[in-house]
Amino acid sequence: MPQISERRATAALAIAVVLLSIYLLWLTTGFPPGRGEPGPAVWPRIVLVMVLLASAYLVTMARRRADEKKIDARRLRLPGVILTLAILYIVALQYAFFVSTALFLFACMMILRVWSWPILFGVSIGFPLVVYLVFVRVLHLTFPTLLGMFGG
Amino acid sequence: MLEALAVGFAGALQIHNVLFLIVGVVLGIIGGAMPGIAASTVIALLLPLTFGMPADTSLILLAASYVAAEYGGSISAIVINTPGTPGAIATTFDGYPLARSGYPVKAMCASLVPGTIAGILATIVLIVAAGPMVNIALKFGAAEYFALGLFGLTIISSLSTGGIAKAAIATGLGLFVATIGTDTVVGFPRFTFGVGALLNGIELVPALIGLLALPEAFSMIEELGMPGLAPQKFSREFPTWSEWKSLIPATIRGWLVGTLIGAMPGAGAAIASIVAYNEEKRASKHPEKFGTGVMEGIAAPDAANCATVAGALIPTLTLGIPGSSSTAIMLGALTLHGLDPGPDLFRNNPTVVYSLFASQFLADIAMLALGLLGLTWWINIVRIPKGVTAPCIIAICFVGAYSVSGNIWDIVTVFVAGVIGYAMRKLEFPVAATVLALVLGDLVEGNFRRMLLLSHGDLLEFFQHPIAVALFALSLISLGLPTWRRFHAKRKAA
Repeated sequence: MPQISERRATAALAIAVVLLSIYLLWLTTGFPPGRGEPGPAVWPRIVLVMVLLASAYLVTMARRRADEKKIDARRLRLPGVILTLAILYIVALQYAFFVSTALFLFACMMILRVWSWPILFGVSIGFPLVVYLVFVRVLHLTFPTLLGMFGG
Repeated sequence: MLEALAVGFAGALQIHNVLFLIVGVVLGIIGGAMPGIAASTVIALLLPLTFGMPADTSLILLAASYVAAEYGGSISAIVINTPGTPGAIATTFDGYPLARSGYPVKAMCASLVPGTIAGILATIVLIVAAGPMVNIALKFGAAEYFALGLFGLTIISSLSTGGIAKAAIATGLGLFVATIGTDTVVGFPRFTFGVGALLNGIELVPALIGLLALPEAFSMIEELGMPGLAPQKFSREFPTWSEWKSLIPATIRGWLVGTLIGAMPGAGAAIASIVAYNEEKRASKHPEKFGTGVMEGIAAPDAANCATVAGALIPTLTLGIPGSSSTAIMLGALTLHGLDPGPDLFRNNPTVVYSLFASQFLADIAMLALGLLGLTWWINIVRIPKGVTAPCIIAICFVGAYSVSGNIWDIVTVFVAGVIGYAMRKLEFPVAATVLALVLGDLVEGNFRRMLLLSHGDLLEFFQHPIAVALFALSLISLGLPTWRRFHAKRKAA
């Protein structure tokens, strides 16, 4: 059964945060000085130094810690699939918001083993319909539609 | 004053005013419950409808929707872990865990009833003590707001389930993200990496929706992937008498915090509810249980949230300074009807003012009645199978974020924040600390710099402000106490 060590994952993340903090701190050296006040660099520096110190501490503690908590990789499989679908949904909704929302909901529910056809069709069609009525008809928001691409 | 109030009630109880009051409450609850639609959005949408109305009817409709929208935000916070309005952020901390543990009715009651009581009490303060309250609020300068922001941040010490280092990183992440965008003092773009969409900074609402709601959807999906999971049972149990009694002190504390912070221009419901939650936890005999579904942890922030409505009206009506973006729109409504907000308003148009006060009471009562009626309807949402709820939450998050400014970037923000929030959850970083830091980041940094600008860079000038020093001392105690308690408990165990 594939498992991820929580201690190692935390340590790896903390190392990445240390490196990122150093890079961001370096970026603040290019910020202009303030006029009669600390300037735009001081507050981010205070925050980044705090993050840097906390991350370094976390790396040290992770090395010392003996307990080995595991994250079951199987649990991440389904969220991973839905995350990938969500990326496709974001790409698609820029062109056709309502159609892609209906397809996304339908696909997700199928993957999550919702087998009832009335629920599958009811939610996939009903949800975008409610969004259309509330946000487009009442609130006059404009969502990207396929018709919009052709000047409709 | 009582005579004027009686006239106000007589005006507010006219049939057409009652009708618009109920319409305002219903629309407020529905709008507030929708993620991405803040109370100010609901009022802004209703404003054009009021152009042809008499001034008192117009204000009654707007005030009723404002009151109800703040409560409405808590509904989605409890049911799907997504605060409908920024003021409901702290409601997610205990409201959602209590609903998920099988007691959605208790969670909703702990939000609705204290919110109503605090709203009524805050309206009494608005009528009786608006003058002195304004004087206190006006004593708040940059140093005091900076100290207030720090005080709000100290709640992280009690949210640090994964250790103080993880809490510090989570807080730092929120504070850092709040710095992204064009610096408002010198106009310099910070950490934008040449991306035009980042010049205005990261939008708060999409980031909050992403951090809080998306990880919840992914957790539901995770559970669906595990075999042999028993379906969860939900109780329709109302709070017991002893539970109601335990909510009284929380309600009073929340009301006091909400009224005072609401009266401070620019502070707002989100800060009030966070501070109220923090205070409630500090006052509790069992602070370690907070975050697991404690009813006081719902009552205090919701009482504060609802009390900010009347609190925010204090500077709006007495000085013409809006206490929140919602009251700024109401100020616009007053001006549209030829009324001049400020001390003259009370002298020249007492009927309108007291009708507004009376409508606040009536709106709170209508909110309670409609809230109780809708209780069973709302809790049905938690009973929907997770295979349907989870994809709907993801879609609601995207729609809610897009509705804020009609920008695809906001959807990307939700997604990125959601992935970060999910990873933080898996590795036991407190997501709530990032959320708080995001909300308070601008307040803390802006006032820190303003304070140093006013004192010509002299940090010690801070200690010349007694309110700021008192808040700072409370922050230190708030940070130190849990650490000392932990240390003491460890020593005792050894």
